[in-house]
Amino acid sequence: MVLQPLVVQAFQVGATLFLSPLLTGLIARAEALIAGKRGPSVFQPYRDIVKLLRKQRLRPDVASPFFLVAPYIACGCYATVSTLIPVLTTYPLPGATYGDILGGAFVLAIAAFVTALAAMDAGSQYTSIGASRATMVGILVEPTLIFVFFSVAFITGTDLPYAMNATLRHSWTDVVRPAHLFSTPEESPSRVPQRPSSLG
Amino acid sequence: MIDDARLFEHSGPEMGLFKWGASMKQFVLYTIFCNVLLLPPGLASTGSVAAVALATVLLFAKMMLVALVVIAIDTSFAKLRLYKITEYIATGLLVAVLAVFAWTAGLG
Repeated sequence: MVLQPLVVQAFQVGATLFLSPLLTGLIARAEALIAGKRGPSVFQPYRDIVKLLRKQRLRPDVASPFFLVAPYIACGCYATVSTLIPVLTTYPLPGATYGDILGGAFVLAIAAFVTALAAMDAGSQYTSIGASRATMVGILVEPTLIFVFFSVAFITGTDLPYAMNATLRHSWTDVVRPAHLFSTPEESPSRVPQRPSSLG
Repeated sequence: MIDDARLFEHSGPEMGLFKWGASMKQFVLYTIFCNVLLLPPGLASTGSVAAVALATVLLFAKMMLVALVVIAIDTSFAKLRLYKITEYIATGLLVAVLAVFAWTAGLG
């Protein structure tokens, strides 16, 4: 059975939504195993999220309604980015060419912005410090990321993620160019919190 | 640690969404790293159910490969002090600039 591109695109967004906690769980488990511990189940992030979704909602008196809206915007941004990048297929799916890799980066920046804004909105010192530190790291990391994307775009002659993938897939020599080898390690997923559930 | 500090005042469903969002961001960045930058093979070239399912499994395999390297780096630091982060990132920026120079100088 061959799926329509629109169905595959929907599956791609669904995979980002519903398989991402599994990735977090797998990484947490692998980290525990490497540290010589047993670690939680790989499905623990799902349990955490479901438990939190059932709990009571509280808003500080000083916070505006935006405080409660921000996480929905942020999650929407992350799901949107997954339509722009090749998650599962080599061929562009509907909507994949609406933005290039910088477009995706801007959508991620919106998510970071609303998260920081909600943290400031809460009126607590601790969340404000968190927001300013996270923004500081973002300010430092983003020029690096832009350089990485530009240098890969120089090699592949485009900055559409699907086209970058196609170029690199068709010539492995492009992957081992000095320019590409210098640039890729900097797009470090280690920037993402390895333990998103380390609270509490 | 830094990212979690922003969420201290959130509770219940919104907290859950932020955690979910953190996972999604991780997934998206790992996907970009694997599929766009470093490990392009392993994607489905047709829309058949089997090909898409296989691509999903292979994507996770590639991600775990990258994750092992990330974990190795992550666990080899006991803790990176906040003021050292700038040095760490500056090294990255320098290498990225070197990559662009290598290209423009015709070395790459």
